Amino acid sequence: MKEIVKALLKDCSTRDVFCFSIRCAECGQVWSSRQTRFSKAGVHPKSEGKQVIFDALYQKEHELAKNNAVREATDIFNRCPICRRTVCNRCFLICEDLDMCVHCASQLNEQGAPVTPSLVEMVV
Amino acid sequence: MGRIKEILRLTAQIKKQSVSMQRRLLLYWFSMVLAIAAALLLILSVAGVFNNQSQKVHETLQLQLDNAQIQLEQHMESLEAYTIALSEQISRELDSLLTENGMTVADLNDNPELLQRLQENLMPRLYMALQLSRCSGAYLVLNATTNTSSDKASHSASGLYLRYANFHAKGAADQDVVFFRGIPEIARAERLELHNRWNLEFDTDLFPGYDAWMQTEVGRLADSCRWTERFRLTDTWEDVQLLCVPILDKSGKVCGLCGMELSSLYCYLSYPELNSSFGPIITVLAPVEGTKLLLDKGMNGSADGTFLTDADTLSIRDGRYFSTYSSGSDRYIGLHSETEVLGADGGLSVAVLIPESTYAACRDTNRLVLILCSLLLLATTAGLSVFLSKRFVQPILQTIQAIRSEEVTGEGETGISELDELVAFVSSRSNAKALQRENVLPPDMEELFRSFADRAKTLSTAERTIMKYYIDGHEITEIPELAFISIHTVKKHNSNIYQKLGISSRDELMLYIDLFRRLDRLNELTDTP
Repeated sequence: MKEIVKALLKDCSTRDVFCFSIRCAECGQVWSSRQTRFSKAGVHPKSEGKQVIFDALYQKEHELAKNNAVREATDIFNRCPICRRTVCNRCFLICEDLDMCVHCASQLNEQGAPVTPSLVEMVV
Repeated sequence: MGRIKEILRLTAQIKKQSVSMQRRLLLYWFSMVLAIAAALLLILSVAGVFNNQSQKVHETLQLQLDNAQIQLEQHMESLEAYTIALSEQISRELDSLLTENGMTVADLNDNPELLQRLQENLMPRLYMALQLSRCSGAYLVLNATTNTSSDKASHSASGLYLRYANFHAKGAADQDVVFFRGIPEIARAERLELHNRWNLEFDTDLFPGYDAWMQTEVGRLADSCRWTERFRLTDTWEDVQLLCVPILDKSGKVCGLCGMELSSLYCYLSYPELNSSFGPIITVLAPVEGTKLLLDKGMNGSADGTFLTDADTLSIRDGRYFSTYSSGSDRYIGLHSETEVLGADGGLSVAVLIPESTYAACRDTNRLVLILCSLLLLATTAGLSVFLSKRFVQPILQTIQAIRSEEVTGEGETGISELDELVAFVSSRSNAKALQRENVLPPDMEELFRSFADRAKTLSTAERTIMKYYIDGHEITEIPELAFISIHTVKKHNSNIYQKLGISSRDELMLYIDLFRRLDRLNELTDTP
């Protein structure tokens, strides 16, 4: 699952902040990871050597932030066993025999409850 | 009555309570230490370490020796005092008579009339001295003879000798006095019976060193008192000792002897043996020469119950608590001490003796009692040790047997708390094993399991899939990766599973899974209905 999510993550990072997002294939909502500030953000390297070092450090922290984002995303996203799309908890239903996305459930006439109720449902 | 019942009830309750193995061991060791102490006591008793008979017999002998010494010295001193007084009276009478007749002591020779008159005058004094003193006879002898032409004139001397004929120890009031030596007219005048071995004059050989006595210059009479050795009185069957005090004439020269007689029979009656727990204690007054106690030269008290004879010479061997006196055939234990009583060759010693055989018998009896007591104690403590060890081991053996035969009930019945715990543990283990082996549960447990299995059948396929992950041993964090679902989805499933199975936590679920696994009934949870 981590590999799937990792592959789907979109990198929204800047030079100073690391951030990743993933879009629910069903509802289209974009989930963004928590923003993590680069440790050397705002610091200008004084030399070429420092620049190399900063670049390496950036890559390292970027990878770490991506892994954290993957871990966060795996708490939210599910892979539909029918259509094999990655959908958020709101679009993923707990069904009788097999959990599946809202769309597939609708197609297959399966009843189920979403893992996380939508905001509307929660209000209701 | 009610209180006794209450005490009995409490005692029964205490007996039922388990005692720790340590306390039991402590009791066992204590009894074993007691047994060892008893064995040690026995060994020491056999070795005679605890036998203080020697000390006791020493105390007894010392006490008796002190008493005997005081008694004998007082007796002898009183006799010496009476004799000195008698000597002085005789000297005065002699002086008066000789002065009256203008004669000297030498003139008494071949002068029977004067000798008779002198003896007539002295007779009442001698008689009184005899009756006042604790002795068996009294005498006076003057260095003069009635017939100097006789063959025996050189060792013959005129005098008076009165003796008790049939005395006994209680007193002299009703005792007959016989006339042993002296002029018979005086006996007739005094109405005294002549001794069947009567003689007119003394044989001076009776007195050791008689001639030397007559040549002695005497300062004080008190310094001149001497006891002869014991000797057989001429023509009689009696042994006597004589106290000799010189009679002085007006010039201070010795002209005769006077004194008292102590016969063997008198001493025998006067100093009876004393019965003690160690045997009869015999009192002896005799000279000691080197390491020899010369009984044949001294006076013995009564020695009934022993083989001691007055002819013995005893070899003395000093010991720590007492001396040993051996006559060759017999041995005695005792103590001796020198007295102020002077014999012919120096001071006499008083000794108290006990037959060694009676002492040994007494000592052996005491030792035997001690050994028997120690044996009894040893047997008791050994019995106690055996009993306690049996009581200690028996429940362990019974429990082992019960465990072997798998009959443990799990109830605290052994009386040893640690063993009860072991039994309970083994019991629970064996019950679990039995259940596992026989796949049989108690009715209530079976109902519980069946109910759980029934509820598990209500799980959806997805939920059963999640539960299978748990059954396979996966953690909750591993399931999203395996099932390609989010952790929230897993938790949602968990919530549903818990609700359907009637449990409240994953731990409870895992417990059920474990129990079903132990019972080999997991299929009831995983199989699709």
